[in-house]
Amino acid sequence: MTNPMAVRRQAEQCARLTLIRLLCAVSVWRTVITRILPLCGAAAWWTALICLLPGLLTAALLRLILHLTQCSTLAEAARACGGRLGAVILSLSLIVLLTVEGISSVTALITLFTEGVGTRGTQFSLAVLTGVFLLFSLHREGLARAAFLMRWGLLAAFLVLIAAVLPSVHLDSAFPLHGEGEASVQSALSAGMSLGWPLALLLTVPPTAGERRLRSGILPVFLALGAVLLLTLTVPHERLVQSQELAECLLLPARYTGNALRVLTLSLLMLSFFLSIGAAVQLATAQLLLPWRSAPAWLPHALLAALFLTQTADIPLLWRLLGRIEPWLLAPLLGLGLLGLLSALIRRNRI
Amino acid sequence: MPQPITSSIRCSREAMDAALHRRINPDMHVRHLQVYGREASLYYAEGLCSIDFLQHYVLAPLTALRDAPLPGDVADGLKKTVCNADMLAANTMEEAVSQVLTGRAVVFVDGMDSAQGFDVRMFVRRGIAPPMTEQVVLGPHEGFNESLRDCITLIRRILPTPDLIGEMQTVGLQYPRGLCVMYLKGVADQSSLQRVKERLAGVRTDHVLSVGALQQLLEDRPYALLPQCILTERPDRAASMLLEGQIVLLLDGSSQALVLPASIWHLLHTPDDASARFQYGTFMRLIRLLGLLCALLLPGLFVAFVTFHPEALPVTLLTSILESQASVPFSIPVEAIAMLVMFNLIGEAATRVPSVVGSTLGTVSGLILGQAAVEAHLVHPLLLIVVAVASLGSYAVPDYSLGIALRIGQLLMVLAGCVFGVYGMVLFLAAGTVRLCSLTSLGSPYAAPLSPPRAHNPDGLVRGPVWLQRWRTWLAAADDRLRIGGPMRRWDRRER
Repeated sequence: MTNPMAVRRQAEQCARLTLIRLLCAVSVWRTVITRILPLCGAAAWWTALICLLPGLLTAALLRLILHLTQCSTLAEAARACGGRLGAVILSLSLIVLLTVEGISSVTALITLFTEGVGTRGTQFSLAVLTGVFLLFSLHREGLARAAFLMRWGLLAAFLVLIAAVLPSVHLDSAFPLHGEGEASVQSALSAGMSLGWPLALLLTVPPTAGERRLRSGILPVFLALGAVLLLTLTVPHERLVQSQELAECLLLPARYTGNALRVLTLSLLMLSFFLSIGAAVQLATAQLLLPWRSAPAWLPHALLAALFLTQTADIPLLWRLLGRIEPWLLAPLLGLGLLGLLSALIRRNRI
Repeated sequence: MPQPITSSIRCSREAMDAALHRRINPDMHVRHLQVYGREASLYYAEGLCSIDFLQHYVLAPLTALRDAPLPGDVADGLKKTVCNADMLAANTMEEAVSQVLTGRAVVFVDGMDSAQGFDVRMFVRRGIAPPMTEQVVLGPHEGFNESLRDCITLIRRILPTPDLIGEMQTVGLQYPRGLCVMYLKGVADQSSLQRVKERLAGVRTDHVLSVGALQQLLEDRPYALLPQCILTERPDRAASMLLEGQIVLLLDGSSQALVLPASIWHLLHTPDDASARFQYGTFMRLIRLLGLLCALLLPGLFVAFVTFHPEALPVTLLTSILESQASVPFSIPVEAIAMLVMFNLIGEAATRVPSVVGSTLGTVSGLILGQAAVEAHLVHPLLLIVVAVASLGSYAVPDYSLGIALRIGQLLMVLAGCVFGVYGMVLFLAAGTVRLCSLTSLGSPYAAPLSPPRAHNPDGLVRGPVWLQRWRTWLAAADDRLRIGGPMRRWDRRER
């Protein structure tokens, strides 16, 4: 007889993993489309693959630490390696990373709203509207369950778009393979260095039976990269590098689809961004709760309100600032990973 | 503080007469007689008991005891004499009054410090008729009526097992009403059962008028738009839910049973799905799902596309819309909202008028008003089609409460679509889905088994073959999930 409580816990973890997978895919898509693609054009797909490697290696390193310390989550491993201080440092790092991720996604979503779809309203009013909807949706279990419920719908919409775009694919668009040249590829590599950092978030959730967290998390990321490849094969190289503004970059996939499909593309993007912002806020709050074990119930709402307040700033300036920070997002995780590995090895030798 | 029954018949008579307001309540009767040579009084309420039964099987034997010698135990003597009616002792005046008001005949004998109630209940009640709101093509055509006893009997006839438990209790503090908590012992989850009982014990109201009122007092989130319990007037549906480990509440005077816990998928299923072959059941479910999506999204999408995204529409369609729009004085959103309100008005009016006129009223008002509105250039003809299809979709949803929730959601979607286009609708849909998934019914996730995942039969959006329905739902007790081991079609070589 299976323990019903254990089954229920596993089901909730399964739903939470789905939400994190979505966040990973959205983060990778957004970074590639807005940071890498404008720099190196047709070379974006393989540049993105290379950019993903440090993130993958860091996630593998963290997984190794979990194995060495016999822990199931990053928080437990941090406590095992560095005690309470280790747990606090990890939590703070993840909170900062998730906050940056949240601000980037909020900025992208509101820009899509204001500049992409021609809705009446200013950046601020639409930020307030979206914020209200998100506040309404910020339920601990509800958000993850909704992502789990909608996963097949999202995938189906994605496949419809892929199928619709496939006839427009021209292999000629893959050239020049090195995009705008060596210098631009190097710039893109440094801009997207931390592309795969959200993969580490998969290790914050305990494993579920019969599912490998990292392996299952990589699939949506590769789907996002596949979409980037299709985009580079559909849109001429010159157009790719011409799009420098945030709105232009975000709307690029919609510009080269049919009218009806444009609505579907933008809806899919907005839905994914919406869920990933909620995920970032929830995970950040969960990290905030971990070391102290108690926090007021309004904390996630306050965090979300703070994210949306950033939309009162000058958006191009904010986006440039985020562009400076994003390449360094992986650094704290890598540093903590190396320290954790050292500590885990020492502990193991002692035993 | 309960008032004990004294051994003085005079005091008991005064107390009963006062409690039943006999002077102004002519249907509260009393018969004074002699039993075992002592003074006795028999109280009963006219209309709540069978006068024939009372005369033949209670009053006649009691009268025969007029000069009988006093036995050691008077209650035992009464029980042996009036052996055709169940006897229940009442030790307080409140219990005696309650027994009279629930159809028993209560006898007081001088010198006894308790009263004895004889079961002579027979209420005026409606016969068993087909259900009004859950009609089917293939299943049985029996519906519950307002008699609690009949409702229990109808379920017991389908599930003749001693494991079917019907615990009787009352609800309402000042004017209590009979309630039966039914479940299958060993199949229903004990924690769910415990939770139901705790909630019922925690209901503090003077009276519960209907099972719908009870639903509002028991639901996890009473402010949510969606119903978190199932109301059914079909005994076969109630029985099938008992088999799945759910708990059925029957309230005296209500012709519907309240089933909980429930999920959103239960609200989309009908008994026909199980009665029909699985291919047909699946097809009908998908049609119903399409109806639900049409009802929720179609008017909003029409408004959003015409107002915000006309480029996404085919040119010929857009031209036709714009040409006819030129002669209509209102904007598309105003027209859409007005039409939806009008269709709801027709639906509501058709429900309230006598059933013979109802369907005619619906058809006539829909056709004539719609055509007249188009000819008067008050609405766009395409919008009329859209609103009609959406309304049809909302009526295809089998659950009445869900249908109303859907029509409210439809109006909100139109508002979202006319203010922010498809993207406003996307936001609204996303937030709505999150809220739906955050709901629980008696602590069980509302969108389960699809989210969060639970082990389940092929019986969600798609209805699998009946021989693959091996498991009870996730709502049943964990150690009794398997309905039956081995193949269900043992004669079939492929199944062995």
